[in-house]
Amino acid sequence: MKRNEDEAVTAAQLRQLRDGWQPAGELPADYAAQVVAVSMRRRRVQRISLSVLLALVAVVPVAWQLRDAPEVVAEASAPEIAPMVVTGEVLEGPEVVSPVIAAVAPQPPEPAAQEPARSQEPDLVAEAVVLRPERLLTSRRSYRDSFRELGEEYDGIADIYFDDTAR
Amino acid sequence: MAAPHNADETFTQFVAAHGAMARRVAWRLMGGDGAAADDVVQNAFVKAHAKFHTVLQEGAREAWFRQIVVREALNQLRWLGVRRRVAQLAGFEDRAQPAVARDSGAVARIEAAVAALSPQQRAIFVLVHLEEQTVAEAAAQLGIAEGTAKSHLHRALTSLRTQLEDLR
Repeated sequence: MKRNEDEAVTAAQLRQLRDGWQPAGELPADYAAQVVAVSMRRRRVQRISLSVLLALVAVVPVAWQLRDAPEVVAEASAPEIAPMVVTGEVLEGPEVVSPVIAAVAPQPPEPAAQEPARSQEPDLVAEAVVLRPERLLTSRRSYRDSFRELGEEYDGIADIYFDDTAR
Repeated sequence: MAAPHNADETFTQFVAAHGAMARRVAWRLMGGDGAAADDVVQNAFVKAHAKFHTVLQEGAREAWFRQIVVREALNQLRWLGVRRRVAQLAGFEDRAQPAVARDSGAVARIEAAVAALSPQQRAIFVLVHLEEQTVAEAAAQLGIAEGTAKSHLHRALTSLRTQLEDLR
């Protein structure tokens, strides 16, 4: 290929430029060692960055799933455990309840001490119904009669079943 | 641990053999900006060190490393261009090349004119006319087609001719 440098600058000027247009000084003697150190450092940074990236790739989908199912987290919190105790007994056996949950869950009350006096009364009502199955206990009076036949005095326990305005 | 020691020794010899060439090419491609040229040389040697074991023949290593230097310089020039545009948009003072008076020395005039070329034009001019590469070699180092390289070279010479008309 024909070079056109003579058309732009003369050959002598170009030669001068070739020889003169150069950086001053030279590379330090330990330049290779410096380059190797920088190269190693960059490689280490790249490796760490890759590790962080891989960890993020592994963690983000799990975190996303947890975000979509908040009830999983909610069930593990202590205040939600309390309703498990319904009738004075822990519904799940202690072997399936974690120590933390067992610690925060209320202890089952003593059955005899906590039993309310009125808890016997529905049994009387049920007994009255059993004694007089042919009668529909649809009024206070029928209850009163049934209690009387049992030798008990009706104390209004079944009034809650009737309209208060009818009293 | 003989192998790593030998590898380091070979690389040290490589740096000693090609350091001057790398500095000169980088400095010329960066238009005489010494700090930018130092960055280019360091990045080029670091990249070369990372892949040094993949190029085994010494003759092949020189062309391979020259290509790394040239492309690193072009990358640096692109970044400098972006930074300059951002600085202008932000209203910061741009450190433009100082104008060279017409009564300066001829070589100083030519240097300023070469430094004022666009990165691609300066690269092809420097590689062909100052580094004495063929157009095909220069095109390969720049990663462009030979026809494109010829076109850039023609425009570079036209620009120089216009700027240096009074020197002829």
